[in-house]
Amino acid sequence: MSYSILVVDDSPVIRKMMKRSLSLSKLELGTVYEACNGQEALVVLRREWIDVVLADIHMPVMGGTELIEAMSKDPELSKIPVVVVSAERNAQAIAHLKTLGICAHLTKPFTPEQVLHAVDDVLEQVAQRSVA
Amino acid sequence: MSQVLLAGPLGEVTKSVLSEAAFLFCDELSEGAAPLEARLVEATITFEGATPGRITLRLPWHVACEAAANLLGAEPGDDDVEANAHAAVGELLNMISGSALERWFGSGSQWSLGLPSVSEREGRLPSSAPRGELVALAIDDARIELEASLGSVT
Repeated sequence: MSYSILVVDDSPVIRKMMKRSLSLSKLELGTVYEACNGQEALVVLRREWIDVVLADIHMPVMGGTELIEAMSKDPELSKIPVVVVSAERNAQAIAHLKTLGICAHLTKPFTPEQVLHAVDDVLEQVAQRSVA
Repeated sequence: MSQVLLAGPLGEVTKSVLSEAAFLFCDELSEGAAPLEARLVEATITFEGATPGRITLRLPWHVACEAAANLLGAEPGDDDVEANAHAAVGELLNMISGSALERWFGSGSQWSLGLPSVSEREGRLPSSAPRGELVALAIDDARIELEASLGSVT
């Protein structure tokens, strides 16, 4: 089984870094989709099968918090795990994201290993849930 | 918080972020170092909260390209390095700012980080009329500069 991942970040540099990090994974990866903001991400999420979302918080048009709120209200999208990868270090903002159900929060700068570890963990949880 | 308390932590997080994220290693600027006239990339980010403010990062163009290459895992001459130089500087400032705000105010304080705006110009470092506190560092003898100021950002 291959996994499809959506990377949501307004920075093309970060999207490329994420894709490069994910390419090092031992997991069987399918397509890695990209979106520049939350609005673009919702279009991809409603069109494609996505196993994990890696999302930034501060983005133009629609930020990550608004994206996660929109996903949590949509029964079709609410089960898709989200890992937040952001420069955000504000404890209250991170606590709010956790109440919205994010699976993990990585702070920038990140290492490829941190991204892989977070994605592996999330996919393992997804696999265990589907077995149960 | 007085302006003078900004520089120390800002310099420390800048060294840490640039080395960790982009393999750029900063040294202290030697006394009497010559000013730099160069093609510069300048990124500015504002933040809101109990104490609003702004942080600016200025790098010579060749350092911006080196940062982009290192972030992308590319060679300095690769096609997409120059095209991503602005985005790389903006992202590095974003990373520096998140860490600096945490150091300045603590993670329990409320703030909101804006989006970086990036531009390019021929310019001089050190800046001749800074509006805030300057932090100057050197990367392979190239001068880089950060400027932090607190207060209204409108």
